[in-house]
Amino acid sequence: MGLTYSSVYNVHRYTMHRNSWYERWFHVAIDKELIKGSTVILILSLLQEQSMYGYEMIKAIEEQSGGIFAFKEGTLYPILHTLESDGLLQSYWNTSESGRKRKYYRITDAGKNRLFQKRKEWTVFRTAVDRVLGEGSP
Amino acid sequence: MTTQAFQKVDEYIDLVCREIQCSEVHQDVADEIRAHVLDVVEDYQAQGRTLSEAVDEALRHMGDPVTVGQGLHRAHRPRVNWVLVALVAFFAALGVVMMFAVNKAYSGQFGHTLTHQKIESAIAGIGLICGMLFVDYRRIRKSATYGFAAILLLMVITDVLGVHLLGARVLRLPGGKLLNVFALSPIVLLFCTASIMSQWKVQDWRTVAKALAIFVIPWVLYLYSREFVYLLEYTLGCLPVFAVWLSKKWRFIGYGVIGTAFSGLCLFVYATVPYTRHRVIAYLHPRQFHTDIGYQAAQARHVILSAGMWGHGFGAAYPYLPNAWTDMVFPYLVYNFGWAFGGLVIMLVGAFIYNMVKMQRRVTEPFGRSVMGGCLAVLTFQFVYHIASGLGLVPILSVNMPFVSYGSAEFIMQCLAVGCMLSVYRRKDLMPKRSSAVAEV
Repeated sequence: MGLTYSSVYNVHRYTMHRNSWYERWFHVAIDKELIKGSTVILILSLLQEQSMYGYEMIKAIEEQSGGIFAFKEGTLYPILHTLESDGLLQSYWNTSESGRKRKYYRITDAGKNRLFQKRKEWTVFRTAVDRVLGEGSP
Repeated sequence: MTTQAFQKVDEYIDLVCREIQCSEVHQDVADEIRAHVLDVVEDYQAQGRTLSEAVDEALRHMGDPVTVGQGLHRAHRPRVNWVLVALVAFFAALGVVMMFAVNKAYSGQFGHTLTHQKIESAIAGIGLICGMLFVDYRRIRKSATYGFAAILLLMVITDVLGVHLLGARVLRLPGGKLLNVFALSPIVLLFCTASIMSQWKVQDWRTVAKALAIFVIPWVLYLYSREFVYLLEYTLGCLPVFAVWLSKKWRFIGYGVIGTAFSGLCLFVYATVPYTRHRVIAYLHPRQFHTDIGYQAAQARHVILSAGMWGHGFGAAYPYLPNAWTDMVFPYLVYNFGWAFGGLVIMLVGAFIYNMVKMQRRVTEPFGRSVMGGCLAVLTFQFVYHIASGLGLVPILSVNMPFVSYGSAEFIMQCLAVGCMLSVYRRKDLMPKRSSAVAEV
């Protein structure tokens, strides 16, 4: 997952309200690894609602995350294909009314199980980090 | 519409596909990326940019084509199920060990027949599995009808010209080798049935009738030759094939016909074949008949009960257990190595079956899926029935334990089944997806 200009810019806007001058100056960017690891859970959770094609997923993620997650779109497809190879997703082609053929992805039962596991993991992780950082953070 | 702008898109896609070694998926990948880029371009144009700017911006947002291509390549590589391979190797090795044990127990009465034959078949079988991995199972599909006819013809010839050897009817080939066609038949026939059914487009009563007709022809031959176990294996193997290829509406009819025919068959066999009738009676009244028709069952029970936790050691002699190297391998194994080992073997068999089921579910291509289902059904039946009859839970029929029991034709058949499954699984990510929505099977 590459950090694009837009993602860094949006983080800058998000952190503007922080008081510390060095945070504003050095653009505290979200860790790349954190983004990569969470993409799978984002995709699975999106697809749990409805089946989507690639571009639809990217727009939905950008929208729902308030612009924080805007990543290089091409890198989404290897992830989708790998998830499908692991049996977490299923793909099928669909032709829209305008005549464009798009490849939709649907979540499988195994995918739903994985999502459930990842959600639990994320909650555990989030609570632990919050606790370590202490309740004093704004 | 400037073609120059779209040429850039094609160039990008070309760079991506160059990293993907599996050429069969290139078209799919190209279509998917092109659809994406065109969507993005449309959005940018709606924001007021020119076509050329929009294309440049869209391709920039896609990212480095080589990285994308490499990522896609990793998703479309041949897959090997190493766990299954390891389990097969374990069972084959166990089989060789058991042949040496039987040899020791019978004080070399068999000479080297058992052990040498077993090692030979093990090597041939492993070689067969490796060979099958490199065969594209879809290419065989077209010649399936001939294969079907060929096997049926061989079965007829065996009936007429075959000789009885160790309870099986075999063909003596020129050169002295023996060919047990009936042992090979369930898997080959179900593969051919799946191939034939996969080539039909329409589902109406005519196709279903044709399917049932094709299914019934081997039945006639099996009945004529009194090979009931293979008939049962063939039927069980064809059920998953029917499940994949018949839509829900026709499935019930198909199962209904097969179920009725099979129950009728069971009654018929019970009534007319003394051998099987005796086995069933011996099963129902174990203590009453333990000296004559229930002898094998009684010995199996005794052997297992007296095994103890750690068994009586390698090659422990128990000459009263017939067929210790084929039908009764599992009880004899428990006698040698104890209940603990028996429990371990049961767990590994369970793992094997679970692994096969998981493998079958991951394959989406219907033909591959149906063939895998059939092979899975046959192997599961053999494992489960052998162990269950050894434990006295079901009447004893001559069902071999896959890979462990002696019997090269059966071993080859089991290797065919596993090889088929591994071959289909290997290709699962190397194929383009179907154009319509995939049905939940």
